[in-house]
Amino acid sequence: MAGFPPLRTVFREAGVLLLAAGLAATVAAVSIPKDRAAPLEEGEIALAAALRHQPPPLWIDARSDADYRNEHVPGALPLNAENWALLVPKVLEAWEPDQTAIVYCSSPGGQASREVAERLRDFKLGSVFVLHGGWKAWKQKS
Amino acid sequence: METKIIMRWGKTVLRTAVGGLFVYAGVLKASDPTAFLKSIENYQILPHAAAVAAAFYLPYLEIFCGTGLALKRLQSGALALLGGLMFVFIVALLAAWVRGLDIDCGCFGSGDGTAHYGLALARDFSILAALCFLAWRSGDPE
Repeated sequence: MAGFPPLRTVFREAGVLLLAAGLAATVAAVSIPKDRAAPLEEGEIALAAALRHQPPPLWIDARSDADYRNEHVPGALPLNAENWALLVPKVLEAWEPDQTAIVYCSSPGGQASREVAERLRDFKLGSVFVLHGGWKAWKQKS
Repeated sequence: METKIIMRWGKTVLRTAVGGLFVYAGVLKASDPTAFLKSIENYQILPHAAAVAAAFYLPYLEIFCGTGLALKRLQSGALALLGGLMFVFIVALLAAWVRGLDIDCGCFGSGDGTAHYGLALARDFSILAALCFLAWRSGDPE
């Protein structure tokens, strides 16, 4: 016999499912590693999303020149506040219109990459994100 | 008699397929909550804290409801919740389309980063229609 089930049944079963999902989500949120649990702040992008981003983003290394020379994300360009005027022309040359740029650094809280990202946004060439977890997140992936 | 058997089998196949689809989508999202969070934030609808909660909660709701539907346990509640979810997804997609956002729908975790609104809406409306049909025929003996 076709027909919709009684509302009381629907509410009771929906309640059970909502509760079960809530418990599972709580367990999942509590059990993931702390560095992954930290929620993304505005303007940040998670490493997993950054790696999947299409078309490939422009990586910007906001650490010191010495750190950059030592090791960096493949294809990344150096850009830091100390040598801004010297380094920014090369970044602007490589930055395709509407290409997403992702900035990373190794400072706690990502302060250096935030500053660089803020200044890059002024060029309005494309979206600019700060890599969540910075250089440490990249190294952990490797 | 034959029509009844075909209808019964057709319903079982449809129920299992739709339930399985939600389990699949939920598992993809639950396996990478940060990528799913980014997808939610791309819609620019929810504040950050609500988006974080949704990124953890929705995948498990899909998994539990999909499992309930496929296994015919708590079916009425699962159908009602999944119908509500589909309605919300459709409204969110339409809102993003109207605002001209070029985003991946995030329906199956993180995709290619490009909007295919027509396809996504056609798929969502088809699923919603299937859910309505299953709810309507849920009183049939199996």
